Order: sequence, then C-alpha cells, then structure tokens
Amino acid sequence: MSEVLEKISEMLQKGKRKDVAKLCQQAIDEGLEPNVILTQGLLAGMDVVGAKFKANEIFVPQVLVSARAMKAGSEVLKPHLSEEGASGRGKIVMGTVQGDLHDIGKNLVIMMFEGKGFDVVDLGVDVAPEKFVQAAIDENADIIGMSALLTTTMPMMGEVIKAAEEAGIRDKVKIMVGGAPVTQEFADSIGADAYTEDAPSAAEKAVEFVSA
Amino acid sequence: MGHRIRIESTGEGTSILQALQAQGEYILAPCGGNGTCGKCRVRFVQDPPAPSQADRKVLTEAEISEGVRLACRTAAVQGAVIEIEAGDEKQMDVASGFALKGARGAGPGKKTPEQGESGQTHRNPAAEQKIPANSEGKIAAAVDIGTTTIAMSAVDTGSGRILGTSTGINHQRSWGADVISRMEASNQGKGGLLQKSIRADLDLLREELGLAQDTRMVISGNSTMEHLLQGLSCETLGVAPYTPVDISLHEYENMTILPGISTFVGADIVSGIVACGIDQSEEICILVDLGTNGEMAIGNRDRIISASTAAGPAFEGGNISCGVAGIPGAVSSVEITDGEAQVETIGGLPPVGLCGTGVLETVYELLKEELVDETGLLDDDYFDDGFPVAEGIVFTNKDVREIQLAKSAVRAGLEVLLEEYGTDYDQIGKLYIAGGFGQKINLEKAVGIGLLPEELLDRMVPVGNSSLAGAVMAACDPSVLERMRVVGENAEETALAENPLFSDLYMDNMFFPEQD
Repeated sequence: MSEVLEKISEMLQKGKRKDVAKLCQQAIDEGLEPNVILTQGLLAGMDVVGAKFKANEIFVPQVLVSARAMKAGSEVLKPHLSEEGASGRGKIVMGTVQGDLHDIGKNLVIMMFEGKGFDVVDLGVDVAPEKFVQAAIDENADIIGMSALLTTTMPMMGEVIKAAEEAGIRDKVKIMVGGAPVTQEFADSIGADAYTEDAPSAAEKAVEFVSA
Repeated sequence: MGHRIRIESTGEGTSILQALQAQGEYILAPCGGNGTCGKCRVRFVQDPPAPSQADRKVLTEAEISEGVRLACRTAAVQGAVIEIEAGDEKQMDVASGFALKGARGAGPGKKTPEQGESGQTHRNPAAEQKIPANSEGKIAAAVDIGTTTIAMSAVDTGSGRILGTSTGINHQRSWGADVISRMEASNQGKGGLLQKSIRADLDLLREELGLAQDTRMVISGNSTMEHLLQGLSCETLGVAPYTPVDISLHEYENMTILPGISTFVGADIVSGIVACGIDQSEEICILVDLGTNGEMAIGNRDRIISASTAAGPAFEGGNISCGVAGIPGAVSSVEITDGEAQVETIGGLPPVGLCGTGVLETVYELLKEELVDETGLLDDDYFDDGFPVAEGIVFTNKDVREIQLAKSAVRAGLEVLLEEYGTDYDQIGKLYIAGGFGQKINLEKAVGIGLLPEELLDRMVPVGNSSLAGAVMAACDPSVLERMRVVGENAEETALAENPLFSDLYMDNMFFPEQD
C-alpha cells in the first residue's frame, strides 16, 4: 500500500483534520485513484476507529474528531469521486423517532455508517413515521435507521415499520433499530430487520445488508 | 435468596414479575421488565420452566440449573413456588438528613438498626430561619418521594421541631429504576397499581413514625412521582415536548402537593431552591442534585433557570459492573497506592460492591495513579479484566466510560446554565449539592474527575436531602408554600437536549482534567 494512504489512515485515527485534508490532496496529486484513497485511506482509518471504540479503547470524543477528519478528507475527494459515479456503498436515512429528542447516539451511528462508505441522510430528532418513509422513497434508500433512548418513545419504531408497509416500500428497505432500551426481542416483536448493541456493529450489519 | 412465595393469580401473558406486583411483592426490576438489566432474579423451588433467551444471556449455567430465572421473562403459572431475595431494605442508606445555613451534620442520614424504629430528632432548618410558629401546633408529615427512596419527617408545626424521621424504599422500583420506566408502566395501564404501591409505602412510614393515617402530609418529589401519587396520566410526560398534566401546588384535605417547574424539574428541586433560600438570595447561587435525573438550577431572587441532564444512575452505583446501592458492605472510600487499593466499606463489613462514592473515588484514584489516562483508557495491565478494587470487585474500562458520560452531562449542564444566565463562576455565591451522594462525596475528588468545577471548590455546600428540608419548612409555614408557588410558576427551564452548546460542552467535558 502507498505510504500516503497509510499516513491518511493514521492521521484520521488521531483526528488531525487539516493533515487528512492535505494528505488527500497530495494523494490525488500523486495520481492515486480517488476511490482507492477513500477506501484504503479514509475508510480503512475509520475501520480501526470503529474497532477501538467497540473495544472501549477509545471514546466518543475521539470518534467525533476522527469523523470530522474523515469529513474533511471526503470534501477534498468529493469533486473527483463524482466524476467516476458511484462512491458509496448505499444510502441510509436515519433519525431519532417521534417524541424523542436525543441525538448523540444517532449521530455516533451516522459517523460509523459514513465510516463504512455509506451515504447517510440525517433526518434529525423527533422524526414522524411519515417523514421516515417519505425520505426513504425520495432518497431511494437501502436502509432506514431508527434510534430511541426512551422506553416511552421506543414503540414509535413499530409505527414507522407499519407506515413503510402501508406505503408499499417494506420489501425495498432494510430497517435497523437501536438505542439504550431497545433489545433483540423488541426488534423481533415489531418486525425490524436488525438490532445491534452498538454503533460499530450497526455499521457492520449495514454492510452485510447491502452486500447480500 | 430467602423469602418463599407462592404465585396465586395469573392471567394471559402475565409474567412472574407482574404476578408478584399484583400480590404486593415488589422485587427490584431496574429496567422495568424490559429483559435487559438481569436483576429481577427469582429461583424456582421446583420444576423451573425452560430458560428464556434473556435468561441464557445474563445468567450463568450454574444459576440456570439451580432454577434461577428472570421474573420479567418467565410466564406465571399458578401454584409455582419461588424464592426471592430477602429484603435488606431497612439497612439501605437513605438520605434524610439535611444541613443548611451552615448547620452541617444536622442529623444522621439514616436510621441504623440500633436506633430502632422510633425516629431521632433532627435540627430543623425552618426553626433556624426563625419562621413564625403555627399557632395550632399540629403534627404534620413532611415527605420527599424519591424514585428510589422515600423519606418522611414528623414535624410539630407549632414549634417547627422534627419529632422523628423514617425512610424506606419506593416499592415502585418493581416497575423500573428510573422515571421513564414508571411512566411507561403507567401508560400500559398499571397506573392504579403504582398509585397503590406508593400509598402503601406512605402508610407504612406514617405507621413507623406513630402518626395517625389522617395526618396531613406535605409532599415533595419529582413530577413523575407526584403524577403517580395523584393518579394523573403519564402519557404526555415521556414524549417530546414532555408536557406535564399538572405540577401546580395542590392542597387536598390531608395532603399538600408541592409545585414543580416542569416534567423533569419537579417539586423536589423547587423545595430545595426554597430550602437553600436561593429565591430570596441577592447573590446568584446554584443547586445541583447529583441523582439519576441530574436536576440543577441557577439564580437568585430576581430570576431562576433550571435544567435536567439525565446523568444516569452511575453515581448511585447503577450501570457499573460491580456497582451496588449504599448498602452495608458497599465500598464507599478508596485509596490506591502502587497499584494496591485500600478500601473502606459501609459498616466496615466485607466488601460487596461499589456504591456511588466508591465509584467516584475509584476513578479519581486511578487517574491520580495514572492507571487511567485523560481520555479514559485503562492501563494495559488492567484493560482486559478490570482493576481489582477488592476481593471479587473489579472496575472495568466500560465503568470508566459510564462515569465519563455521567460527569460530563452534569458539568456541561452547569456550564450551559451559567451561560444562559449570563454569568460566570466568579459571580456565584454558593454551589449547593443536594442528595445522599452529594452529602458524602469527597469534593476534592469530585473536582479531580471534572464532575464539579474547581473554581467553586471554596463555595460548595453539601445540603443532603434539601427536598425534605423544604417540605418540613412548608409544613410549618404557609409563607414558604407561597414562595414555592412563586418559584414553580416563575422559574424557567432550559432544554439541554436541543441545545447545540450543550452538545459541544458534553463532548468537551468527556475527557478527564489533567492531574497535578
């Protein structure tokens, strides 16, 4: 592997935003394929970040600075990637369910999705079922991701799945759920396609879905 | 385990947990029957049913073969005989003491078995404030209903003297440890049972204090507890915009319900604000309750702003791998030198786990010894198995992470309040720290992990159960009630979850401060 790619991954893990952007530009100038820079530089770095976070070796703020560094690098690559067409793995619409205003967990999952090369549309918090479904249709999403932090708002996830059925898109999207009170049992009971315990596992599961 | 119970009534889809609740047996169920916490263990004396998915996840093979099951995930069968944990409730450390106006150590925080069932006399902050005596000289019961524990003081409203104080467990714990799970239980039609449970608890405490059942009660507590007591719907409490049904001051025939500010900043905080005299103070003061809901308020006689931070139960030993409540044997103090921990436990008994103060001190000591770095990473030697605090008690890196989340939420909340109020640490007169945990923490160590600001170390005042103190004052003096009404109506609340500054500060404060 090229030295500059390794350096990109390393700086991304350290959360060095400016260095990552500079190195991405350097890699392009050196004539490397933008897609290779993305996958073997940025995404490879985020993979390490995700694994370390899952193992409790690093914590939320470190993931955040790495994700910001990844964003800075992506910005540099973006104009070059679009020329080649498809850059990402797939599209995910993601939000916190209606009645729930918590967004830290959701944002963390989004970072991990993006770290796997997904294109994520963040619907924000307090998202109504119709809004999830409409966004999935408009964006032609592969996956709907839902977050809830309260046992009182968790049942809204079932409403989103019902709305997806009514709109006739249930078989076109995979539905993933997560958040502190959510369990596998609950996910099964509402007919979600996947539940994961943490953000890195969610990203891995999403990769499985689009690779299948 | 110990106590045997026969399951009497069952219905379609009833779990053992629900059957026990219907029979008036309230076992601990922190996650509210969600199948996630693994604490509602019961043992089948014979013929245990096949273990559930949840059983297999949280119980050991040995436990499963001994007949242990999770009550919330096991169907109730009539006639089944199970064993539940013998209650050690009376020994739990419940904050009922309070120390205001410099009167630290006004009363012991708990009733020890030696002191027997009759209460001891506390000094009364109301009396110290020279509140005019109520001429009728009646006895009233001042109550603080906490989500976990309840404290009641018998007060001579004429003299303002406290005749006795008794504390107990809030048996609604069987429907979950936090207010959100209680709301959810109520929303699922269990409101009547929850009301029955809290009323029985209040009856019991009055009985213990030798008070007649028609003794007037002055009740403080968080908004959820007050809703459940009054039988109000909790439907709108747990979903944005989190609107309460009714949190105004209510005077029923034998019961006064103190007013709150919002769903998440309740009468317990209003009561604390008045007990600390913040609503009459010229100086700007802060009150912070270091409990699960992390309520806080800043202000003076001109303006008060409040917030709640959902700090979680880590400072009460919850969500910590070897965490326990303040029970006998809980590690309450820790010192680490050369990788060896020296501990003190409640009652000097063999260590059974870490309570809130033990958790905080462990983190501080690990930081001081550089066994945890600024980012919260545990030293290589302990990363896999955790740091051994005492025989059978370890502190894992995940536990460190829980504390980082909790302390950062509190600290970020405080900083947002200062910002919203347009002031800074220099201008603050006092930082009152409420709650049982707040009364016992080592303030230097709390500052050392970044929970509380170093700038205010010289102005921190642990006040104990200020919610109960306010209820005592209100029982004696109608003008105090009026002050509470005014605070409840006029104090503002700032929503932290939607505040971008809070999100930023929450991230900024998640690491630990540099150690000297």
